[in-house]
Amino acid sequence: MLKLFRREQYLRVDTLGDRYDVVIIGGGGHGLATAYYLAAKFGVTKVAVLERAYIGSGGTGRNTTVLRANYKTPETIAFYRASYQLYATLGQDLDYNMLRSQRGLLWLAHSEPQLRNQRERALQNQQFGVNTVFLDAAQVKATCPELDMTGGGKRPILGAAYHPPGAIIRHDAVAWAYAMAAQRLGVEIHQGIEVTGLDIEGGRCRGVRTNQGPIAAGKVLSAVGGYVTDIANMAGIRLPIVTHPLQAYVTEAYKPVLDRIVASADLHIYVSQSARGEVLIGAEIDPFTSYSTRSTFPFLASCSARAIDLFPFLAKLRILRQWTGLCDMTPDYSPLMGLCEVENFLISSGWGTWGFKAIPASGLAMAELLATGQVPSLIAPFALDRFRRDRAVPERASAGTH
Amino acid sequence: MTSFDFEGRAIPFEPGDSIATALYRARVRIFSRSFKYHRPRGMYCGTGDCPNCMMTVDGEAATRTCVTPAEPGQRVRRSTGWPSADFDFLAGLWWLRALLPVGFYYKSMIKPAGFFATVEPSIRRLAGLGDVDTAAPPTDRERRYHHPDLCVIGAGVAGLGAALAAAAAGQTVVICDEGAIGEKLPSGPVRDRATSLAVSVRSAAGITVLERGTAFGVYEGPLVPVVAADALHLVMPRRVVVATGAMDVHGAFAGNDLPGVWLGRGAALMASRGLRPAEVAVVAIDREEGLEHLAMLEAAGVKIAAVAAPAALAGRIRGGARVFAGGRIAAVGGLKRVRSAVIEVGGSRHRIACDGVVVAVGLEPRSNLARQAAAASVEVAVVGDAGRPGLSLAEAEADGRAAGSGGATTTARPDLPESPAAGFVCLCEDITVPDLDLAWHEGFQSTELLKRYSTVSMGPCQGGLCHRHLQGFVRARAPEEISSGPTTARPPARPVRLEDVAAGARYPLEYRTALHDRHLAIGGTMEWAGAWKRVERYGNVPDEYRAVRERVSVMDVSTLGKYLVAGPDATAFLEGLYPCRVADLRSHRSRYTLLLNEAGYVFDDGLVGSLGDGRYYLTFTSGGADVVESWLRDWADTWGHDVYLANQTYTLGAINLCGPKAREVLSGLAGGAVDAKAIPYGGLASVSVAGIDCLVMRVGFVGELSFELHHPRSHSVALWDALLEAGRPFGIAPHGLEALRLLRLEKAHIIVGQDTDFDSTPHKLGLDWAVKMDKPHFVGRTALERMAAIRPNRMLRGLRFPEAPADGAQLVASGQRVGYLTSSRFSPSLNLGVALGWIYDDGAGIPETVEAVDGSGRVLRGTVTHGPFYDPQGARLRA
Amino acid sequence: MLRLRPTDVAIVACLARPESLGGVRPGPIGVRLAIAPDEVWLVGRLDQRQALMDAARSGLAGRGLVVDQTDGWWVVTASGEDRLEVIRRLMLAPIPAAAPALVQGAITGVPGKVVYESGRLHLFVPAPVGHHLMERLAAVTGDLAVQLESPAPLAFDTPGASC
Repeated sequence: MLKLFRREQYLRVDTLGDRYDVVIIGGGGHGLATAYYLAAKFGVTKVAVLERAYIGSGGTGRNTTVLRANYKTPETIAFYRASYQLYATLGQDLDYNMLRSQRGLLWLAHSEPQLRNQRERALQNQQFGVNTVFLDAAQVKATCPELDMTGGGKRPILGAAYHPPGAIIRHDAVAWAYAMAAQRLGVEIHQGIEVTGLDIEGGRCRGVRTNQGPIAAGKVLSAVGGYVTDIANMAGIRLPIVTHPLQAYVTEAYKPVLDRIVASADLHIYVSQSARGEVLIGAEIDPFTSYSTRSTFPFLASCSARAIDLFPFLAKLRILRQWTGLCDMTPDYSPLMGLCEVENFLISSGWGTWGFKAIPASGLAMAELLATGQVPSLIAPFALDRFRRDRAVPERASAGTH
Repeated sequence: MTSFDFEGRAIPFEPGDSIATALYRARVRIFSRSFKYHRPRGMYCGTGDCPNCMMTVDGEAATRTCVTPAEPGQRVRRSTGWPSADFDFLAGLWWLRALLPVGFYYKSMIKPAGFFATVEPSIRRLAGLGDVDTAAPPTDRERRYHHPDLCVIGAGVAGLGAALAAAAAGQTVVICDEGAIGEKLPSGPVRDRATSLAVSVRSAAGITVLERGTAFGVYEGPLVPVVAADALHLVMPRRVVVATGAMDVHGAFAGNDLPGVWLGRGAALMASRGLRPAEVAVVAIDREEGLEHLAMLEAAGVKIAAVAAPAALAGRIRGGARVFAGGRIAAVGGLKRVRSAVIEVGGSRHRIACDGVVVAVGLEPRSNLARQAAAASVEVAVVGDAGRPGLSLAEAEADGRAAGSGGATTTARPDLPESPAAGFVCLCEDITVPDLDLAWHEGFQSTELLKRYSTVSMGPCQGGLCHRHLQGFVRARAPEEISSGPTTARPPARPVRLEDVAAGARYPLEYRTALHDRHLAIGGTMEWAGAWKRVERYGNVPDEYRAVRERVSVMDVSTLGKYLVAGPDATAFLEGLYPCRVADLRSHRSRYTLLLNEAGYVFDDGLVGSLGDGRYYLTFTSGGADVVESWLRDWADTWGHDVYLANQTYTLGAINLCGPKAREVLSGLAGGAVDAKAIPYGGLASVSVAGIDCLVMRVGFVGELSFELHHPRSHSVALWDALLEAGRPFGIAPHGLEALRLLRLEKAHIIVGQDTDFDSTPHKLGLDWAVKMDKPHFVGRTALERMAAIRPNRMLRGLRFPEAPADGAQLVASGQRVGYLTSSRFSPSLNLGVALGWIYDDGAGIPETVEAVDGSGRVLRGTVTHGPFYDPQGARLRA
Repeated sequence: MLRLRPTDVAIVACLARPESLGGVRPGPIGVRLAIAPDEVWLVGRLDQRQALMDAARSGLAGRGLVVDQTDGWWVVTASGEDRLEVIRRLMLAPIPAAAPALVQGAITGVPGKVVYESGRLHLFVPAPVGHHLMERLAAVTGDLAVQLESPAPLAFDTPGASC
């Protein structure tokens, strides 16, 4: 409360040095969270986060803000459950209100295959201690009365997996909170710094080259999304990802009209309403690969048509702004975390449409790996070389669109 | 006298009135309450650019009443303010603003845990521009596509000139304006000229006029979508001219948001309709046009108390007003409305009593669409005020005409705005200059961070009023920052309804087989299978099942992917594509095969059959048909094979005639031999059935004697009817997908996508026999060879249970979760639950027994098996 | 005024390398449509189906595949002065300047082809969504005077033409 009266600088402008224990490339949620946990949990404070634009300007500032743990494999369920639990107390831990709001997430099924999928998901989640239940059509309507159960007369809703822990949060605030907390512990954050190369000698990374000169580093982490292929090329590494745009839009702010977060497995869209009253709507990734963040009209039209099928009241709401982010998609729709062929160079990438909700768990795990050199068991399944070992973690059905 | 309803009052209106002008005439002064502080807001811009006049009209919140024509019977109400917009208790929040600094919610309500969760519902109710009418049904609209040479956005003098010049050069033009032509212009020479040009434009062949058509974006293409009452117009021109005009710069002084403060052009517009924006006004101007505003105000009966003007214009101001040469408005006083204005000149301040302030000190182009175009790499010509604000009437028209005929136009270098001195920078979100100061001090030191933290420019006007001030603010503090430029302009430039953009896209779309109506006629329940509608059941699934197992049945399998492959390299091509052998396929024989990707993972399955003359007939699952076409063509291209690929998925129907009596039924209709010698298991033959040429394929999916009859789609109905008729003495009954799922499960036949996962190799599926590793080359071979040395960590197995666990049941062994079921049904023939499921093996091997946990409370003990449950030797399907 | 009529059409597809397709000609009984560099259609009356197949085979001289794709498509012919409205309301691709012409692209959300003649146009959509085209035509022409005619065989203004 007193904070409201104080005039404080929460985000410092740091002076760039030429040597750090850890250099983190990418000032999004993953990089900032890693920096924070390095300092907070492992006492490693000689850390610099290098961000090309402004913090949270990539996926962290463009996603659709959903927190959930209702995945499909034991490995991802454990990981996202851990992340969800960290998010639950993050506001208190970082002393910043990120406006987290638990709303319950409905994942609708309009066809027999999806009905089966959602039933399976509910059973799988329960098996691993995540709260998801299967609802029949009548129960779905009771949980979200605003739904048009006929699916616009075209694709009736047959049932759903309901995940009560599903929550929304202010995405930018997550980046800011981690940045501020990290800086309080001595971590440096540098915006407007672009990494132009990696200093690699004898298979070992010794630092980075930037648009403001070289920086020596004990270890370097790439926590970049969207353009991670550039960084990987600098290290001579090929990453098994393809990058697709993902679009979304918000309406103007209206009085509360929708409490639940609703996703449709058959219509491939999702809808939620923020605390400010804006209704946030999105769909699946664009079917083409691109690094462009241009918004398109076909997306707006197609997504709106489907959204109206679910919620007729959306028809009269006014669209305020549409935007696009980039998703690094892996073959199995699970992330890439850990070591690679270049010593002292680590990667946290392949976050597709499943990155934002993973920020705390990924940050903590990568911090542990950086600090101790040991791969935490929570993220061992997401090693970069898992495809070579035929140990993929298939999550396509649960990655959904968000 | 026509009227509309405003909060229970009947408000009369005149022709040409907007809802706002009619309300103003009826002495309404508070039009809304602001978002955060619930400050009273009055009419301000008059042109649909600011949020002040937004009300709920006919149940739709956030309607800009100053650009919405008044119509009889409308229901208008203000939905901000509690208990009402006139008396709002929450206006007291302004006095508590020390407790509500910018970003206050991030800095508070953190502890105790759960505090914010308790408070959030109340915050949600306070936020929002209005209620949503959840009962209002969507209106279906359609689209129109246009391909003119030129699209002109904005039908002011410059835009109209551009349209006429282009048409005179023989080009086709679409010109749109979000309002009626001329309605945003006060009466006078500009409006007269626009009206006159409009007459020529409307009568010109080759010009389409979309009046009250809002162009909300310039997308790559270029594509300019225009929302109009009749339809959504998608304009795809060769060239775009942006003539969206300019608006007065939003003033930056304390009290700049009070009712009674007007932007110059808005005030002039009111005056020209005979409405006085004030009784006593203080006016600030900076250009010639300001003198016209003064004249119009005076003609409407407004007493001009004082004018602040540049020295060059000061001398031309007549009348009794006090003129302050070189002066500027420093502040406006009042609580719920304007009561005074302070003019500062030469270091001294003068307070003047008034009830209105008119501000015409600078013009800001409506640049959203032009900036969108730049972001989409679409070159546009920006003309008139939108390009060079403040042009004379003649210059603006000439500018437009030059662009219309394809000549170059000049855009002004954007002026470098100053940092705003005081007042509300963002009216939509209630952000003041001190708010921006605080945010900057806290460390949000770039345009983007400032915007996201303070929410400045993120409200309904999307920066139309304030992005200039935001730019000025940042530039003054960090001139070298790249991000002190204007923030990205994103569509839509004006808020548009979902149903407007969904126009012409809401139709249902289902792919149907030729038997669709037949299925409905005999009581079939249809379900979605991808983009197709297929029969789920005809009524009683156990009956359908028994028909297949005991007698004879038919199923519509027309949705199967079907391809004809021929050409000199056809055999080599298919050998490379498939893991099975193709070259040794004898004429009129087929083989079940998997489709592998380069990682060795199964992504589809089907049959490959040889027609004997170098042609092959391929089938694929219904779901895979579209993906497969590009798969086939890509590989043919990659290998440079001379092959011809004909997609016959839609051309041919297919009916599966199956059951122990299937041959009897078929032979009664067939024009040739159909015995086991003529068509052995795995064989295919061209046979006339009921006079219809069919390719008959012996298949085994359901585990009974089956003849898949592939035939021209136009004969599906006749063939189906003939089969049902011929089968009648044998007790034929058709079956649907639900019965199929059980039938194939009893044979442990996989459904790709249901029983398989992303990384299912043939080995994990127990389908090693379908892969010939001794072939030198096929797609996926390299990966499979490498993986042969890697122990798989899970395998797909069959399982038997005393009862059928639910789909998705989890499998537990020795207290550990070891897998899950992908398919599970009760088998009437075996009186057992049969299932397929994935079982993990972390090195200890696959367990022999497991328990299924399916949320029903039952714990079902099952055994893990290999191979089909029903007729394991396959005698029945090989009959 | 807009007249709409489902049309019975024979469609013979020829698949071959581009250099082999040059000899494929319909003669006076049909029209040649260049669908793709490696695919040409001979389109004509239903009762000329066999003749078109023969013309295709002889034109290819064994260097390709001839496939009867007649049943795979649903064809509607639009005529009358409002016929272009159908395109303007259902198809994104621009209307060609001259006829005869072939335009391929999405028609109300499904893959389609339009053959333009000077007085009418023929819309081709996949057979499984023929019903969808009919529904959409009805939906978007409510403001026009529409005459729905019963199915009739195809007739071309310029038989033997290529587009």
